[in-house]
Amino acid sequence: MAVIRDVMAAFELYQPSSVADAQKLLEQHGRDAWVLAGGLDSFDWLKDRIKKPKAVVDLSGIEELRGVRTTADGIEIGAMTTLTEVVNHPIIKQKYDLLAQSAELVASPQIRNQGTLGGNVSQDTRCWYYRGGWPCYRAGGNICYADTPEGRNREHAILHADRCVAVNPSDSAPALIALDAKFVMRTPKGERVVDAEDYFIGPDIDITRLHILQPGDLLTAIRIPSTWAAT
Amino acid sequence: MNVASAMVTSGDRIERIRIAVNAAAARPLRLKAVEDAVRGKPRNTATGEMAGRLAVQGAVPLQFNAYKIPLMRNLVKRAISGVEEARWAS
Repeated sequence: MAVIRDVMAAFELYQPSSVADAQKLLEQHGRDAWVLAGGLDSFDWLKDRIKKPKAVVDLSGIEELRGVRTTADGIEIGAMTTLTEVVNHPIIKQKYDLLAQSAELVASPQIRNQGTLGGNVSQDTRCWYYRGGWPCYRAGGNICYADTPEGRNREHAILHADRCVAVNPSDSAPALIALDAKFVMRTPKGERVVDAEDYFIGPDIDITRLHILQPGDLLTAIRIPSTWAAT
Repeated sequence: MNVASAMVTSGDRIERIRIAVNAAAARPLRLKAVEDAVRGKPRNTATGEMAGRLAVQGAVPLQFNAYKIPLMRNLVKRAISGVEEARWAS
C-alpha cells in the first residue's frame, strides 16, 4: 500500500470564521478544496497521502456551526457539534434519545470528543482497499478489489452493490433517518434542505461519493422535527 | 451494522414507525417495506420475525460477510419486538 506516514502533502490552509466565508472558499476552490471538520476521516487521507487537496477549509473556527438550538418544531444541531456534545445534551437525551444512543456507539470517547455530527454523516467509506489507495472503482479505476474470490470483504455490502461493494460507516445516520431529520446545506445557490435519507447516495448515482455534497456545498446543520420526540 | 427505529404504539399495536439500517449498503437504507408491513400489527415476536425476514429479502452475501444477513434479520426483529423477544425461534 502507498502508505508514507511521515508528513502530509502541502496544502493551503483556510480558517474562515463564518459559514458564508467557508462556503465562498469552497466554491472558489471547487474540486481542489477539502472540508476539514473534526479531522477523524480527513487526517487518515491526508497523512496517508492518498488525497492531496490544494486547499483545506478548516471549519473549527466557525462558532455558528456549533451547538444545539431549540426551534419552533424540534431542534437544530450545528454540523460541527461534537458527538460527545450530542450524547450529553439534556434535550437530546430527553426527547431524541435514539440519536444520543447512536452517537455514543461511535468509536471511543477521545474520537467522540473530536468528531462531529456533520463529519460522522459525511465521512467516506472505510473499505480498506479504497482507503489504502488502490485504484478501485470508487477511486476512479475499473475494478473492485473487495468483490473478488480472495477479497477481504467481511465489512462490505449485502444489499444494492453496484460494482463497488463498500458501505457507509456512519452510526448516527440510521437514527437520523428514523427521526426524520432534515440536513441543511449552504450551496452556491443558497440554502438547501433535504430529508436525511436523501443526503446519502449509492454507487448507482455516483460511485465516488457517499453523499450529495458537490464542490462548493457545505453541510451546516441537522434539524430534527418534534414528530418523533419522546413525550 | 446498526438498525435504528422510532415508533408510536397504541396498546401493543404499532401505529407509526420509521426504521433504518446502515453498513448493509453504500447508503444507509430506510426499510420502507418493513414499515408498511408492521404498521397496525401487534408488537410481538411474530411481527418481529416477519419484519426481519422481509428486511433481508434480496440480500446477496460476498465471500466473507454472510454473517450480516442473520445479523440484520435479528437486529430488525429486536427493533420491532423488543430486546427481550430477541431470541430467534427458527
